[in-house]
Amino acid sequence: MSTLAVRDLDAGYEDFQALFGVSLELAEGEIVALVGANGAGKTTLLMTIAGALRPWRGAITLDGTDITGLPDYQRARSGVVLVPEGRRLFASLTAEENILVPAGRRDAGPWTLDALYELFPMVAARRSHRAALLSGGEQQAVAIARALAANPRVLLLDEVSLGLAPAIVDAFYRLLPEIQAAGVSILLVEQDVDRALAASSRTACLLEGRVVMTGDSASLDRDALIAAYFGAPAAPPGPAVRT
Amino acid sequence: MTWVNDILQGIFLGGAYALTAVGLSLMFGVMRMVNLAHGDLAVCGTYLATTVMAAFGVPLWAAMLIMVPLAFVLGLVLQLSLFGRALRSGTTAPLLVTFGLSVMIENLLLQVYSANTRGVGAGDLDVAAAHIGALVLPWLAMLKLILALVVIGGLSVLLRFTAWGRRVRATSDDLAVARLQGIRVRPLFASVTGIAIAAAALAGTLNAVTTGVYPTLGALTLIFAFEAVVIGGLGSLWGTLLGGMLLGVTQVVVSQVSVPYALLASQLLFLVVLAVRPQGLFGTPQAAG
Repeated sequence: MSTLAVRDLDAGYEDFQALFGVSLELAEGEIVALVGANGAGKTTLLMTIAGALRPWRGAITLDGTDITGLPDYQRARSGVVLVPEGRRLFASLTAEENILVPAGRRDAGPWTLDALYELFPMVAARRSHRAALLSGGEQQAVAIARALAANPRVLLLDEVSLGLAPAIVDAFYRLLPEIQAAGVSILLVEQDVDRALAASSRTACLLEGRVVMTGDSASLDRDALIAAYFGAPAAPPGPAVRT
Repeated sequence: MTWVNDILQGIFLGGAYALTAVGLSLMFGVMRMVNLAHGDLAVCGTYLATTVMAAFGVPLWAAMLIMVPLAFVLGLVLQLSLFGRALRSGTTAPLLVTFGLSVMIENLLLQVYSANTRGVGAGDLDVAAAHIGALVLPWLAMLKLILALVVIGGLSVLLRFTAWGRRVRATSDDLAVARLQGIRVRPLFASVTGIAIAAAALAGTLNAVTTGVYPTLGALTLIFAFEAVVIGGLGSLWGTLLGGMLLGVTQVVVSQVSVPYALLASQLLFLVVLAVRPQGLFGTPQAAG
């Protein structure tokens, strides 16, 4: 049974539909990458899974339990936690206070404050600084630590690399296996196709709100994926499964 | 020496203003909500206290022990039933809803208690004072100042050091993300409004010991509370204390020169702050926007 399953999801904003029949599955401890151009619906999908948006149609299940109707705050408590695009820390709180905010499964997993400081030593060093005064990389580390503090079953990472130096992004991606090893399933949105393929076991490509390609990251045809990414009409056939 | 005494009396008056205003400041700071019924809710607390005193024949302090928790509950109920809904429907709705509530409360009080001014008996607390040389230390005014310090200091400690405070500040920073981190905003906001209304009712009742209470007193109460909040900086509790004190000192000092101009002077102070530093003394430009 998959940890997270999204089936036939339609979602959008007021009268604008952003997702059309999106289906996706995450096994326990699996990393799935979500790629696609700007406006393809990646953030909308993550926001819908996290509960910030009500889907118009379709279902989201966590460990087999339907969570489609759960409000956003319940979603986080049940184990689906989003690291939002642009980090969105609580600016007036210190780094440590940010990490202490999440309610819910605080004692239900390995991510205690100490464990998080061990994972992100740079956060430990800046724990009493206000979030607004931290560097971009430090803020991103706090944002991930804040999400992990809720001991999620599923971690949703929205463009962790946005606006960060490549070396810092590399460091974040090197931590993913460690998070994964603790049994956390990760759905990550990434603009950089090569990084997405390298970090994940499976990759899904969104185009204009539809999943146009999914496959094993190791065997996925990179050129076909790039073509799907930009919506080129004649994608060359490859080992990937077109849906 | 009379000037020193005047300034002291101004600070005492400022303590009363600050205690009245702290709830308004808290609600704006946390929810970005201006509660136009703030003064009327304070007046409701006063009438409730006088009713309890009359019904059970208990002294004021005992009546307040019953009234202040009831005011807290009233705040909870209002937030859960009315204000929360209004907040979710945009920025104008809370103004309209609380204005409507204000009109309703004033007319309801007129119906039930008539337009006559009611005294709030507190023994000789309203005239008793200690003297140090030429300095006069009125007990009631000192009590209000001390309560203002206790309420603002206590709230600051709660906000700064408790999990509740952390959640309040996080929600104030970014409501949508706070919800995504598992924070239930509704009960959190209800607790904030409960505290705000309880503090207002406490202040209103103590103020009424000096002035008496009448159904439309709330409008005047709101104006001074609002000015203290704006002068101090929207959303800053200590700013509100300072704002109240500046209002109080201005009023008392000017009244030594000319009593009719005393009220005008404090309004002018408000206008000058709005013109020169619209975000208030302790506010950030962002918070005022």
